[in-house]
Amino acid sequence: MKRLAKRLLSFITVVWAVLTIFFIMFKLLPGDPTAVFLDSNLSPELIARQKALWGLSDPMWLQYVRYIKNMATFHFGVSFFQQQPVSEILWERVKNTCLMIFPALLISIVGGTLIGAIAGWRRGGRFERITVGLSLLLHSAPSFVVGILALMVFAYRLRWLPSGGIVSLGAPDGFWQILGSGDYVRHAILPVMVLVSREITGPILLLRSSMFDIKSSDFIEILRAKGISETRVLVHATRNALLPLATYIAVMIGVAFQGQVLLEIIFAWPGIGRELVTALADLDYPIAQACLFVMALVILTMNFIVDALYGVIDPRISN
Amino acid sequence: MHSTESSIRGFQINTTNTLPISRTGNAPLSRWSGHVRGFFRIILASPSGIFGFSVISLFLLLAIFAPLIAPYGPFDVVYAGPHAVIRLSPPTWRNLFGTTNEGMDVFSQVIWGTRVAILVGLLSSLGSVLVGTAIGLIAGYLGGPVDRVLMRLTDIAFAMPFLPFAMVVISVVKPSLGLVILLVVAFLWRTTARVVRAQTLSLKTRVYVRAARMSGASHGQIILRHILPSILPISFLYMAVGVQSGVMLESALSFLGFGSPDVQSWGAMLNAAFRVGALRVAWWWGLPPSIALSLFVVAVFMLTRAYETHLDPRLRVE
Amino acid sequence: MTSVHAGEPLLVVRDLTKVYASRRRGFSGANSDKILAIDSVSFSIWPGEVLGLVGESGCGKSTTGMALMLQEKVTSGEIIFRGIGPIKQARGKTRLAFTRAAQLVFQNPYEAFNPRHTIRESISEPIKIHFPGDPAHQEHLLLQAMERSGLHPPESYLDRFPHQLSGGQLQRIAIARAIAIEPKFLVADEPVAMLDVSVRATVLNLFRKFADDLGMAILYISHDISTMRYACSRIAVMYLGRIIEIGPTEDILKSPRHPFTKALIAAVPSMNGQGRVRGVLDGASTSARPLKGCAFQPRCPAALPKCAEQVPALREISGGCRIACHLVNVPEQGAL
Repeated sequence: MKRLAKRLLSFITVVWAVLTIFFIMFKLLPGDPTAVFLDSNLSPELIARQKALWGLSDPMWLQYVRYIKNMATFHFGVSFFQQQPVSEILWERVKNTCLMIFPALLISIVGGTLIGAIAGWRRGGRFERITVGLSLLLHSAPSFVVGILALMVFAYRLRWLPSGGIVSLGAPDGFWQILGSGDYVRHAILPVMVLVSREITGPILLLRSSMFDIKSSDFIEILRAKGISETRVLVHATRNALLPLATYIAVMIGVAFQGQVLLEIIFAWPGIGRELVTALADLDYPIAQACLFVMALVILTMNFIVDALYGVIDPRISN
Repeated sequence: MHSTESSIRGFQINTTNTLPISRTGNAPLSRWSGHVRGFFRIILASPSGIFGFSVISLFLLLAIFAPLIAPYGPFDVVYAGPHAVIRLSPPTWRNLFGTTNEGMDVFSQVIWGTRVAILVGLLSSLGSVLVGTAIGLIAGYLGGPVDRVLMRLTDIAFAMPFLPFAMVVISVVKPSLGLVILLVVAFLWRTTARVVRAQTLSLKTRVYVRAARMSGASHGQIILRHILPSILPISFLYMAVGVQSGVMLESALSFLGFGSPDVQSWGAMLNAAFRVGALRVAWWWGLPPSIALSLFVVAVFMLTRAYETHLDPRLRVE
Repeated sequence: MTSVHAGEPLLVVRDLTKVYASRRRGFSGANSDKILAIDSVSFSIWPGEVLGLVGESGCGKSTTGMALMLQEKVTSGEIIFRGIGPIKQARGKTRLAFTRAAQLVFQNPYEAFNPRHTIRESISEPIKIHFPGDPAHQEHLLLQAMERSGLHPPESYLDRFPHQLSGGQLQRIAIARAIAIEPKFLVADEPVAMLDVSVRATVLNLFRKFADDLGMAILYISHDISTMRYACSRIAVMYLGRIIEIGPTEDILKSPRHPFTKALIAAVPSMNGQGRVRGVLDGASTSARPLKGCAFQPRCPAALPKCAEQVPALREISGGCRIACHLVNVPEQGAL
């Protein structure tokens, strides 16, 4: 418990440090964001008053304190461009990103575990060789290139699948409506499969190498001696091999959340990554700030979960 | 913290499997040349190593001799006649990979892009390994408050999502290749730092290090003589990995439009093609940089894998 | 092996004490919170003699050796080295001077060498540190050290790596490394504990040779008292951090006075089956010390009531022997 508390404290410290760095960066951004909205024909007093309203003319330390307070409570302000509260916009985008990530991660984890376990179990077979070779290839290849190639082949050339967006133009895009529609599935297949092609390699390789350790351990011998069928033994072994995977999953989620910027751009998926890119182009700082913060927060939270899980899974550490 | 990258690779650094294997005698100088020769022997022993090595050599040659091989400059426009720019032409004998929507020769662009890749790869990997090794060494050896501060710094570095962070920074400052390389270095050093620190900590407590201390060795002498030689293989490995990461990250940034406008990197090519929607039709524009990028990155990976597999035979596929 | 000391001692240790603060809460009182690793240890070592320090595991003998090498911090007490002192720490220039004069041989020869360095490089390391810039002299010291440690011919060892050599060879190389710069003081911490019995005598004779021929002062630490007959001129017996008996080797081995010493000697398997004083120890080796009185009292077969009350002081008996025990009647005398 004490260990957890220490970890929580360092988590909060790092979040604070990250926020501070972001604050400094954004303050250094060139250009006056208000120029977009404030007609320069207005009198200087009016401009100054409006800026004061937005809190932009307060002393720096005050702005900083307010910034930290707002960020910590997820009050992200109002978007310069879209004239909507940032948190609402962001929430939509996060949901969309999840719609792409979670199916992909699910398939990757389940499929990867199975494939990796079998590959590690049947060591030396052709299955293992092909699996490992392919996995290494896909693991190292840049995923956005695979995405572009997939787009070119399946969407442009063969026209099997739509080339972008989460649903077709004009279709309802509420969250549950999307989820229920076949349209979503059609749109999601390509980005999800591209994501899977990369993410599945992690669990495959991981399961394979941890299978090596387990296969030669004593308790497997005992199970065999008991006369249990080979498949059941495999199931037992897989369950033990899952341990390192548990922590890897948390890392996967953290990484996926910010790495999907590329895929979201390629497939015009309205997720949080794409939102950040457009916000930066539009100089829409509230959104950009919030996107960056959310992404960093997800990574940090996942890292924290990994640490906490480790203490639970491996009792040796919590002592 | 548990390094997932190395757990995927299944790699365990063990100082005994980096023992000197020189057959040329044990004097220091011939030992080093024995190392180099041993390295090549390892790399060329497996098919993946051979593949990786040949492809990288090919790219290296292309980069060095780019002016001789590429028929056009990276931004040169191809004319059929006065004011007749050849736009979006499919591959012809004149333009092996066709032309872009602005009339630039794709083949030449790919060749020139090789230079960017090699440059970015080398500089970013070298920089990140230098910084990472230095920080890891200092934190691990000195321990105490210095270690705590440096580790806190590393934690913060681990919290940073690269693409979003880099995009914001590039928006603040003018986009340039130097800035991209700097950002990649700032992102990559953290992995090396953690691993080097762990190794330094373990080495620091060895009996022979204490013996050297009691012989009168200063801290600097101990680091140079006893710790650094065991760390160098790790640094070397992470340098190779860094080449891969560096090129990928630069391409990603360029693809998103945050790369340097002065160079024609493969990522920038893809960005240009994608933005104008040319990919629907002009496959000749999108395919070559994609293949070049993939080939380069995979080749580096194969190379590092060949080296790793030698160090930890468990990774081998029988 | 002489028990007459001429001249000034090389090393004087006075009331050396090291206390560990234990993290666990004791059952009662303050004493159970602290662990006395070294308890008011005092002795001197003269040039040209080998002092053996013997005791059970955990009695503090290794800690004492490390403290003398300034590798362990002591809570109180004085270390006076070559008339200079008390020394607490050695930094900078004093560290260089100290490491030139005092060296240590470790228990485990396999781990005492960097596996990537040749033997030549390993032995040369201290030589190069203390005699920089004179390759001819460095080479001379190197070969001389090999010679003195009985490593013939030197060429067959110098270009090898540690993993190619046996434990006995490695330990002799470790000794060569330690004496290469001709230190005045050598601490050998269980140097033969990990070696085959057949090799032990060779190594132990080296210590004797160094003391006799080179005038080195050597502290030989071991849990095995039978190895001390070869090399030591004096023996000090330690129990739970205290020296309980100290004297010339012959006296200690032939006529031990302290019950613990008697038990130690009785425990040595004898090849010729001579009758020896048999002492039976109650209870197993333990690091728990009683709150009052003699630390050995719980296990002592001949304990007096007085032993549970008062800690016996180390007193001189005769001929350089000192003992801390209530059983031995001695007139009150000032300590040496």
